[in-house]
Amino acid sequence: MNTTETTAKNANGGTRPVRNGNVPDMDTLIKGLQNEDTRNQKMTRNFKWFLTVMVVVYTLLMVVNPDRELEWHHRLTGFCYVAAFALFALLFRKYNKEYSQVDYSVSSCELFKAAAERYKFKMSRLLSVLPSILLIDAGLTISFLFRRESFNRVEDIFWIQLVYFSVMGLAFFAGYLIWRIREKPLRDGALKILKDLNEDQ
Amino acid sequence: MNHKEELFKKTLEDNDETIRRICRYYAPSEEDRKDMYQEVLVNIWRSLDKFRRESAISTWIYRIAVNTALSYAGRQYRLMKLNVDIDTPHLKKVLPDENEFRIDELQLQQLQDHLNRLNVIDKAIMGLVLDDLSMKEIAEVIGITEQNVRVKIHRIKEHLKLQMKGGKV
Repeated sequence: MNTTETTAKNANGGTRPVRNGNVPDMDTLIKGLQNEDTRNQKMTRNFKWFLTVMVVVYTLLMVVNPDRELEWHHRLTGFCYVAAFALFALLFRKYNKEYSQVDYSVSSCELFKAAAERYKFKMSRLLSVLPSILLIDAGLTISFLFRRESFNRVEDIFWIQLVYFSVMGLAFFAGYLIWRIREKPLRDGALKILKDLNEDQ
Repeated sequence: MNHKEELFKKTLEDNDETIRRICRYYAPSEEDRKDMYQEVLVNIWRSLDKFRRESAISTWIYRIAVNTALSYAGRQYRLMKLNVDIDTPHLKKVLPDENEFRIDELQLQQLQDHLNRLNVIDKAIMGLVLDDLSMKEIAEVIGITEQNVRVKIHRIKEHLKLQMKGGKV
């Protein structure tokens, strides 16, 4: 048996130990599985820490910093960014939990119901990021308006909104394309299986 | 060795043959069989913490193995197979008429072709029938009622009978 060890991508994008033979060495397999668990936990923990540090740093620098040179609009901008980061952190936690806890030990019917729901294109999910997007927009607008002396603030606000929401629109479209290519086929597959399951009932 | 490792090893020792058999039934190719086997082990490892002993460990293993095979099919929907050969245990259970168990190479090939034209759920159910699971166990694995399993198996067998009409099976 050829026991050259390689790694292969699994369904969630992680790697698992694979041997180019029939039987994987059990200890290597377990080690690989444990490494993957640790790596996933580390990634999640690191991202949570990153967002937490951003929230703390921005709060200290922009919101509660006693420096007299900091004006109210600086503090307001800082508050907008802090609130947006905090909301993103909460959303990340929620969706990360939802995606990383696929339980294969439930019945097939439950598994595919959950998959169809998970891969659905949901307006509620879009709406959940809206407060963060609006907070960043408010922070950017305030920050730009006070950065330069302007003769026409209404026009400035218009251009800031136009550029910001164009970028957001492109990001939304990219997200939609990713969903259509990667997640919609999975949802369609799950729905087809559920349809076959419910036949004869 | 920690508790999870111990439980994992023990579970595999006791159920390795079942897992391999299920992968043999459903994988479209030899290469996929190995990948599917690895994926079943990964999913068993991930689900071990959630095993509450509410169902028998064998049913739990079947659920993970069948769900992994079905998810595998979800990615390559039409590729899921139900592979049988003359040595498949309980082969007569998928035959339209269990009492007349005489099948030659040609008929086996015919049966194989017709089995592979079934939808993935029907293939999954027939795979469990091949493994001699009871209606109750199949219902627990798939998540439908026992009555529904009975109706499905009856319908599949009727369909196979119709397809193979004219043969000796």
